[in-house]
Amino acid sequence: MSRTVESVSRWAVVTTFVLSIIGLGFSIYLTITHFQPHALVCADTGTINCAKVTTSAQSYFLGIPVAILGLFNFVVMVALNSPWAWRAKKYWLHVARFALTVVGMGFVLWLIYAEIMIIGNICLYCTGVHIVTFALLIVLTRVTPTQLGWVDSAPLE
Amino acid sequence: MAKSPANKKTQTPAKGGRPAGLFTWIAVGVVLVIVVGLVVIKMTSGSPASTASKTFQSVDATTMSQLTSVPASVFNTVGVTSPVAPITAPSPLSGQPALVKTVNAKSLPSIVYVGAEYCPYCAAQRWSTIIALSRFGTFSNLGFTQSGAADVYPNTKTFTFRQSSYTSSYLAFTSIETFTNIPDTATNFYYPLQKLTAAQTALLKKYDTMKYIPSFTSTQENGSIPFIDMGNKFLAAGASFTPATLAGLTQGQIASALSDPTNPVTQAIIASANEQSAAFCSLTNNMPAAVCSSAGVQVAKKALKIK
Repeated sequence: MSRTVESVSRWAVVTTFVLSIIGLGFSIYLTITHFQPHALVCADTGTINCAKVTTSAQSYFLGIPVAILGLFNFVVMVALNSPWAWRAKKYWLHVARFALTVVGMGFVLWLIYAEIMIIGNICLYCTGVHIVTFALLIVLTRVTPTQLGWVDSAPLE
Repeated sequence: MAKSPANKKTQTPAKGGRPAGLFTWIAVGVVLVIVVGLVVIKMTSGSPASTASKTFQSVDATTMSQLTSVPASVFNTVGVTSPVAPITAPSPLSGQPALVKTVNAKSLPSIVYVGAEYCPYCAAQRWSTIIALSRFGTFSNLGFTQSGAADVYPNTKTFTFRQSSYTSSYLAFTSIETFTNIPDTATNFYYPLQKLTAAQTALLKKYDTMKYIPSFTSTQENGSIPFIDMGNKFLAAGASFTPATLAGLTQGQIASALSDPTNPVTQAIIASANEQSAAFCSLTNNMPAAVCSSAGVQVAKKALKIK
């Protein structure tokens, strides 16, 4: 069965690409500071305490540093949100982009839970990644259903 | 990039009646509900440490009575003799300004205790310190606790000063329990409990050091707890007897044996209490006389070379 993929507006392409690059930047920094903690520039008193979060037991998921998972996620997202990928007519490519963002948001919610409920501290750079992921989710939930024909159209401003 | 047919200002009916922005609203709603929910739960429930403070268990009347009303004959019979568990006496301190505290407009020699609920050495030390101080005043609202389960001498049964108060005509007593005995996975330590004031921190930094504590063998021991400053005339750092003495015993078992001067656990606790009592007597001008002139305290004074 052939599935049609509609084009999306330029604003969505530009926004998701820029957001992915910003997320990649945060992820690279968090990965570097995971292996070189002294390079971390962040408050270490009060609620904001990046080191406490990035060195916590929750900074690993199934034995893999969360920073590495974030880096991998954003490398893929930069590729999937590039203008070339957006122009691709492969249906599953766009489904993958949407699915990865939803899964990423789910992971972000787990990390927010860990920060608030378990660790008791907030990491500013992690929060940057969380905001980027949330923004990507907003844009993609706005354009992907229309692009993939899950709804007929969207009022794109 | 080619403009999409969808890029129109007009909105056509959605498939199956679904508005085009439905996915966005659902996503935003779910995320916001979860995040706000977590913040609200966190703000209303507090930390495990605060939960622990809500479940504070006061010492029962029987144990309290056994702990604070040890017969004079037991003090006098034991003296400073503890053949099973050797006792470390408080270290004399000279040439330092007297540590005093004003209580009800009266300046009293001040005893400052710094410890933590997880700490097994504090667990042992509290027994003798409470008994010694109870000869000079009255404790209220002591709580049951035990040292950390994952620490050395695990689950040593003891009391906590966290909500206690002490009234005396002779001495002022200030206690700081810095940590609970509840492990904090985020810090790989324990949940914090009470904070030291700047003055208390300065006291600890100055006197809980190799320079003033003769039993310290390296600077790594600086800052050890329990730390007790007795009016800047005597110092105690670390337990005065090994916590192993109390292993496997409940508070009730230890307290009920305090009337038996032949019990090795009682001997360790009471010998240490007599030595601390002797130190306290040197601060109170040997008041109350009934305590300071008792045979047990006299023997302890001799051991501490107090005139």
